[in-house]
Order: sequence, then C-alpha cells, then structure tokens
Amino acid sequence: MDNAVEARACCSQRLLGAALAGLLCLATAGCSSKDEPAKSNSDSTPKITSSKVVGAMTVDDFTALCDERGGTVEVMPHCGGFATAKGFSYDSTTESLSEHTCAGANTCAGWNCAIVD
Amino acid sequence: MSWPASPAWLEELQARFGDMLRTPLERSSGSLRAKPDAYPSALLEEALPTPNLTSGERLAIYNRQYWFRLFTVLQRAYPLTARLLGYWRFNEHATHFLLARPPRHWSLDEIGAGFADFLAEAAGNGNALVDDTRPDLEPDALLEAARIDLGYHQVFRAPPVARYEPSAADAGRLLQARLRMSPAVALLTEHWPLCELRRRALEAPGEGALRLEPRLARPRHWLLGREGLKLGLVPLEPRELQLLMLLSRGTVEAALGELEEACRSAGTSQELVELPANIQKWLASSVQRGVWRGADFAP
Repeated sequence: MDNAVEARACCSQRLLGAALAGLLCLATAGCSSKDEPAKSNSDSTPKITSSKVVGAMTVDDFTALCDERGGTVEVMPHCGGFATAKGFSYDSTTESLSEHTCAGANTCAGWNCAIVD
Repeated sequence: MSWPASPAWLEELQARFGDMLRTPLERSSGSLRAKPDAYPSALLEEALPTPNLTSGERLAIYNRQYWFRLFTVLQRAYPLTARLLGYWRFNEHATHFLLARPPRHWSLDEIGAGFADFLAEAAGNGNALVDDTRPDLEPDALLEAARIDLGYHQVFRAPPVARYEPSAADAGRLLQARLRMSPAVALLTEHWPLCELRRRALEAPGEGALRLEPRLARPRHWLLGREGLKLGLVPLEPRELQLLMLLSRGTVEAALGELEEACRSAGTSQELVELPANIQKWLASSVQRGVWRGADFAP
C-alpha cells in the first residue's frame, strides 16, 4: 500500500493537504520570519511561497490556470525535485496548490506549471 | 580508565556519613532542627569534638546544610508551588520526596525533575497535600501549579535547539513521519490563573503563602517557549493543543485522524468544516514558533 492510499484511510484529503501546507509553510519565504529575497531559477533550494487546499482539480482546470500565467504544464512523476522552473504546482494527493520560487520544488503526484521569465 | 578499589574502611565511613546527611530534620518544635542522636553511633565516635562543639554538633552542620541547600534548590525550581503551599509545608513535601529519591545526578538542578509526579502520586495514595487551614487551595490546583513550575524549569534549562523547518523534499513522507517536540517548549493547561500568579510571585518575592484565585470559567492552554533567556506564553486553542499533543505521540496522519474523529464525536459540524484551515494555520505557527526539533521518518 503506498503512502497516499494509507493517508486516505486515515482522514480527509483536505485535512492531509492542509497539514502538509501548514508544515511546509515555514520553509517558504512567504511566512518565514527570515526576510529572504525571492531566489532565482538557478537556486537549487526549494522554496514554497504559499500553499492552500483548493479541493479536487482536473488537469484541464490546472492547464487553464497555467495558461493564464503563460506557463508550461509538467506532469510530476515522483515526489520532490522535479519542477524545472519557478511556478506553481498542484498535489493531487493532498489537493493543495503551492506557489514556489525555483526548480525542484514540487511535492508528489500532480502537475507543475513552470513559468519562465 | 579504571580506579583502584577504595579501602573498605573509607567506603564504610562514607556510607555512614551519607546516612547522617540524609537524616531528616526535626519539625515538631516548629523549626527545622538536626537530631544528632539519630546519627550512626559509629560515626559519632569517629568524628572528633572541638573545644566548643560535640561530634554530634559538628556533624549537624553538614546535616542542616544538606537539607537547606536542597530545599532552596527545590523552592527555586517550583516557586509557584512553594508560595501556594507556604515554605513550611512545601519543605515537608520536599523532605518526603528527597528521602524517597535522594539526588543522584551531577547537576543539583536535576533534583526537581520528579517532584511534580511525586506530589501527584502522594495525592493518589490519599496523602493530604494541603493543610486543613487552607480551604482556598484545592489539591488539583496545587498539582497543576507543580506541573506548570516543572514546565518552566525544563524549558529554561533546555539546551539551544534549532527549530525544524520541513523542506519540500520532506513533503512526500512527512505525513507518515513522527515530529519530535523541542525540549525548549512546553504545553501548559491551567484551570486557575496560575501562570499569572507565578509571574506575580516572582516579581514580588516573599515568605507568605499566596492565595489561590477562583477557578477559571474554562481552562486556558499555553505554549511556553523561549527566546534566548526570555520565556513567553502563547495562547493555544483547545483543538490546537490537542493537535500538538497528538503529534508528539504519533505520526502526523495518525494525529490528524484522531483529531478529526474527536471533532466528529463532538458533533459540531462547523468545527469540522473549519478544521482544514485551522490545521494549516496551527501547524504553520507551530513550525514558526520552534515547537519541533526534527522528524522521525518511517524507514
């Protein structure tokens, strides 16, 4: 049984996503007490600037959001470290949408929207 | 490195001296007095008298200092408990505690570690913690005060700890991980305004017993944390406290499941609706406040 299935058995997706978003929040520039400037795309340290549970989202919904911002949709094949540029990602396991500032910041199953300046 | 065996006579002398040190001070006179006639007779013969003091009187100096030092250390570790009980009664409990659990650690400050539990055990065994002359002081309030004092003592003495900030790389396994709580924080609950009373007691030291103020309409929960040498309290919502306690005992997903079930059992649908947003807020704030020092990930 994979982690996502185990997690579903314990409690709601919204709860799991919210917990993950909360725990990861401080790793972000947005809610850290440290005043860190946004890092460039070449920064290898993953930074998530905001994360919220948005509920179920299809790939079409996500693509529409990504198109609005001129980004490119990437399908994330594994947990962590895949996104090729800054942008935002949707984690279908936790139903959370996260903004991040650099490459390698996606979480698990879902899609990434890579936005190149 | 191995040490040569001590001579038998020295070991025996030290054992007798230790027995003498731990002989409790007499309380029946209304003041604490040493009882040299209770010391080991062999030790009384071995200790030489001076022109002004008998051997028993000489040994009593050590006996008194042993107890007075330990009372002082314990009173400083439990200032609220000591002031609520009054020092005379507090020292009586301290005597029972120190006879049952004599100091064994190299740091004298460690002697207070088991005192709050000792008082709780004593109360559980039917021992009266509080004099009949103190109807205002409920035993449960005293036990709560001791736990609060212990929390402050532990947080103050904790070593510097770097706070744990989960990274995106942890995300995939964070829900199955167990978060480790920092020793520099404590979760406190009070049914009486004890934290405020403790602050006032420290600001205005004195010998008189403090009066307990009326019980609160509902309990208050606090996160006790430390910034440098300064300690501070942050209020916690009841479910927030419950979440932090659950997280310190099991995996993140197990804690979430238990909390969700608790909300469901309480039958308040609004609480369930608001739970995800609250969970996110509480956990983000817990990370920011340095509640966690690490995570144990499942292999």
